Amino acid sequence: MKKCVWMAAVLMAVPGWAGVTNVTSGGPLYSSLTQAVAVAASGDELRVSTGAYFGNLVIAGKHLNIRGGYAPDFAARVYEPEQTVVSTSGVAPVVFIDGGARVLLEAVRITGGGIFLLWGGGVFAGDNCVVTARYCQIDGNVSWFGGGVAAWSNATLVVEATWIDHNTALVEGGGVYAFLEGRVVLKEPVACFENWAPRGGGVTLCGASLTTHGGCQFDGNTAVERGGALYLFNGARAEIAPHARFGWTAPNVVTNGDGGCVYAESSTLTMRGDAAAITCMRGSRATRNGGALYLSNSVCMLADHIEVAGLGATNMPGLFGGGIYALDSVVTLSNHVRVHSCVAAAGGAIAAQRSALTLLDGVTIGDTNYWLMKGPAWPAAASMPMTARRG
Amino acid sequence: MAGGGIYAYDCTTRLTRAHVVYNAAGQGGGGLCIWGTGLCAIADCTIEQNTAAENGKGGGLAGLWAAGACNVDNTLIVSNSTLGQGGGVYWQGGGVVTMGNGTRIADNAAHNGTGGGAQLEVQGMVTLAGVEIARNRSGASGGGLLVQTGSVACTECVIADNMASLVPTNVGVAATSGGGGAAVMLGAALHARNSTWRNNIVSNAYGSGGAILALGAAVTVDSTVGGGPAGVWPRTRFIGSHAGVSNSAGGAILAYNGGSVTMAQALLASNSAMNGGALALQDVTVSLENLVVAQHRARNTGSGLYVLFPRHHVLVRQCTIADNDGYGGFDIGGGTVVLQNCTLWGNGSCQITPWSDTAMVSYCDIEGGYSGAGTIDSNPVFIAAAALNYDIAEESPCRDSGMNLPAVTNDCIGTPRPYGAGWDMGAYEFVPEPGGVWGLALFTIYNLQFTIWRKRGTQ
Repeated sequence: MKKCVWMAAVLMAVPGWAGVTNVTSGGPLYSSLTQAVAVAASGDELRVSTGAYFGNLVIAGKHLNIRGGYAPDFAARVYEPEQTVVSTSGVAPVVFIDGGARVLLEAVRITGGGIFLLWGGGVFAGDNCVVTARYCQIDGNVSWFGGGVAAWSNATLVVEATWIDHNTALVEGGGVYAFLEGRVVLKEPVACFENWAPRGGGVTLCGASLTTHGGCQFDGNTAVERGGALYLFNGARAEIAPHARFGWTAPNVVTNGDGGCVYAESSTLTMRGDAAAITCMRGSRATRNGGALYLSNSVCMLADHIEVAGLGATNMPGLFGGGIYALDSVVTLSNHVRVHSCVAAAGGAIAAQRSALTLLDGVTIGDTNYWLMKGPAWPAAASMPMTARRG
Repeated sequence: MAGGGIYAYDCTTRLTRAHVVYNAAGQGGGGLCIWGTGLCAIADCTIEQNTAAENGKGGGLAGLWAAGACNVDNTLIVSNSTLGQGGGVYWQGGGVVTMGNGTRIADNAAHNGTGGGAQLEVQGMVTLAGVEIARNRSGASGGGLLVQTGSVACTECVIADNMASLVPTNVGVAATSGGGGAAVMLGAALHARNSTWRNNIVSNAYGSGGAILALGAAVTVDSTVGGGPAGVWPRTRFIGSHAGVSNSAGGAILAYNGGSVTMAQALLASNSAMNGGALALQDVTVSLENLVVAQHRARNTGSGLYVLFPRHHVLVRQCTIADNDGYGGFDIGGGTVVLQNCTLWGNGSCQITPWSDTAMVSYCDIEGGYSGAGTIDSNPVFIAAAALNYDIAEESPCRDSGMNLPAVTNDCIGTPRPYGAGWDMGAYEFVPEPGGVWGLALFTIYNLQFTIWRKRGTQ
């Protein structure tokens, strides 16, 4: 008790002084998050006061809950990740998790992770690890695969009420990269925006899976070759649930390739909406095929009130499939899916080759065009308030 | 390029209850373009307001080099357009195309080209069943439909209010321009059964074939005869179509430049043209049987029928040609026409034009008389000509006055022939109103006996 009083006195005397306390095992007040993590036992909860911390946290084989946003006296708490910043100044992953660890990261900003490791500039989740990021912001990280986050084989990454933005991958997965049997679960509200990579500007799944729940947004991500928002290959699976929005405030773009929003190769994409709220892919652009979707040897199901549409500038590939391009694939659109306001040289809305294309029950293919002859105006999308993204 | 809305190349494409609207393509298939192999099944859909620009083909739906089967069922293909060919549909390739069950091809336009509703260039078979082709427009031939190649079977269809040849032409191409309802081109074939052709127009001054233009094509028009009488009128009807005003021919049909026209069990009424208010048949093989040809107008020759230099003998049997206006019922310009068991009555200035000396007439009722065995000149006593009912009354002199024509076993509405002592003259076989169960039974027994007798006769 005396120790707590003393710590509180120190913190109050030094405004902005950052500290970490282990509320489970006890111990001193750590000024270094790295040190606190190193000495923590499996199952501990670390509470982190607002401030800046040097990262390169290595969590191997133990279960930790790291909760940020606490006031210096740990009495009050805010859920603003920018109040608790963990960074490595670009020399290593901010959080390296391995050995089957289970880690909760809550209300922290993870930024400035570097390319020391090939995977996961911000967070790396190794084999069989389970990592949950809640009320976080993972931004400004760089890596070869998964600029923001990488989930390795059989790892599970749960992202909830979090931003993943402005990350860069030099190969694949600007925001997130998930490897074989890795699982990525995004829970409302998640915003994955303005990330960059040659392939999969937002998320890349290599034989991994992605599941969204509720209002997740993918905006303004950019890829050079494939998949402005999502790049799926090698048996990957993506299940996009109602209220997901791609290109709601800014289009996902491929600057020199295919699949402005999603590129799926030997993979499965399922996207569902509902009549209650918009679930959409809007304004995506690619310079070759598939303004919104490019499917190769894949299975794609879009169902229930989904909108694939241009956004002012329209889905605009250079060649085939302003909305969707399918090669050797199975594509099913059903129950009031709308593909409209797209532009392409051929197949303004949908272009398919050697594929099975099925449209069922109120699907609308409309208002599309060839080249740039037309392109009807589309009302400017209402911006989603950032606070709303946070929930 | 192709496929404003959807472009499917070597795909299996299935659309059910889908809406393809307001898309545009540069080459073909403003709404959908199906290219190459693979099946295409479209059911319960709407394809509307799509455009194939730049002389493209198929404003709504196009099949290009399509080798697979295409099945369109209960679908609206409406208000699509192209500057080229096939305002609603353009289908070209080797596959089999089937459209039916309430499919409507309407209000489409090929502004400068052919086939306002649809243009078909299929090497295989096209089947249209229960299809409505209406209010389509073309700049050249085939306001509703243009059959460029292949064979089209059209059953229980309505082809109405289509318009061809919007683009001005001249007398030099008059005979090759037209077909308000349909144009069937060299080597192609059209078989229309139980279908209604109504109010189709060739708007160009020189265009011909208000309902059908056949250029070196095989056209067969008939009705099914099983299942008893169809009602007052035959199931196949050509009514109210019109071809050009300056040098046009064939208010209902112009057949020209080879090919054949075979018609049976049909009503042709109130069509008009400069020559041949109902039919203008030049240089083709012709067989007409059980037709009612009535109330047509022509401003030059042959208000009813106009035959010019046929390829073979023209065989006209059991036809009623009546009440066509001032230029006569039948104008024969060369060749030999054989008329058997026909009625020609009330046709304007003459029944058969005086210079038609090659008509070989047998057992016909011709107003004013005509040379030929069994020919009479007596009022046939139609039941209600003003209402287009050219069935004969009980007291008609045409009853049992025709020659035996065992090959003609039904009249125009499917009533078995002969009834009574012999074949009647004209398109209808007189049958008294059934007198209850006994009358029906007697009629059935009579027909059974006749059938047995006829079978014995052929053994």
